[in-house]
Amino acid sequence: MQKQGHRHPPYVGIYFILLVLTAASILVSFVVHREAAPPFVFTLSTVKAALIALFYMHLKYEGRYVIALALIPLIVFAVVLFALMPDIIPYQKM
Amino acid sequence: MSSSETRVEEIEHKEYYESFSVPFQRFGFWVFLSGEIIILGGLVAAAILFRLSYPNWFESSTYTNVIISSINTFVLLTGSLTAVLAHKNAVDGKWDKVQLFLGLTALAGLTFISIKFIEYSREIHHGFVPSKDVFWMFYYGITGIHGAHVLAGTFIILGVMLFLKKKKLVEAVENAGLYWHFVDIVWLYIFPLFYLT
Repeated sequence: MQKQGHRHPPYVGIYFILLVLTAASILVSFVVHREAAPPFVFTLSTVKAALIALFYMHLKYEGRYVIALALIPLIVFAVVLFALMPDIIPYQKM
Repeated sequence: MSSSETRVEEIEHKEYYESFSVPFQRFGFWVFLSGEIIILGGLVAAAILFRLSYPNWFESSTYTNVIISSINTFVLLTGSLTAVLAHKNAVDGKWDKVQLFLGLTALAGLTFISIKFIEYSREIHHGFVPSKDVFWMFYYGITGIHGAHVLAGTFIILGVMLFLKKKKLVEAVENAGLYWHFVDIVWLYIFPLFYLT
């Protein structure tokens, strides 16, 4: 059961960090050429996603089973992405 | 706040969450979310691969509207804040505020969908239809599926608001919030993929 009166993470502060990082993503896409922007903007997206997952979704405070449920599909996602990359990219550039 | 106080607060929060085993409802909801990560993650992965290989991708993405999508990003992030504040107030037993914050989250969902429809109508009016090229096919496919998830999240929030009138259940508020945050995270990758790169 949930207990009452425990302390919570600084949700509003995290929200402002998310807004600043979003503004930074937009700024980077205008400063850096669009073709070269992906590494910067996707890194910022990953930082924002991590903040939401850790604090808003409380993964920072979850047990190992819930963390495994969140991580396993991400590992599958990464494996599929990198496994298909060598096949698709050379084919498209031919 | 000093670093030692922050550390104590983190330990208290960690102890709070470790003091009870994972509730069945939350564990089950995470199983469901795992499936959702696979589905939407696979689609976004496919789009990222095409972004890296399809030479006209970044040219096509210059025709999408950064201002409208930035407003929608702001709307979704604000919805995430109100969803987590609803959960916070549910844990603290302040149920009037829970209804208020859930209502604001549902409003954010409806605002997002409305803005997305305006955006679609502008793009279709200018001839950017799904059959135009690979970029627009992915754009309508992925943003459409994401929009359907936002709509589903909005209905879940509204359903929880009705449910709370009968029974005050913290897990219902938390799971509805988890779904909203998940949809928000997916958008954080869709936004740069179709609008910024």
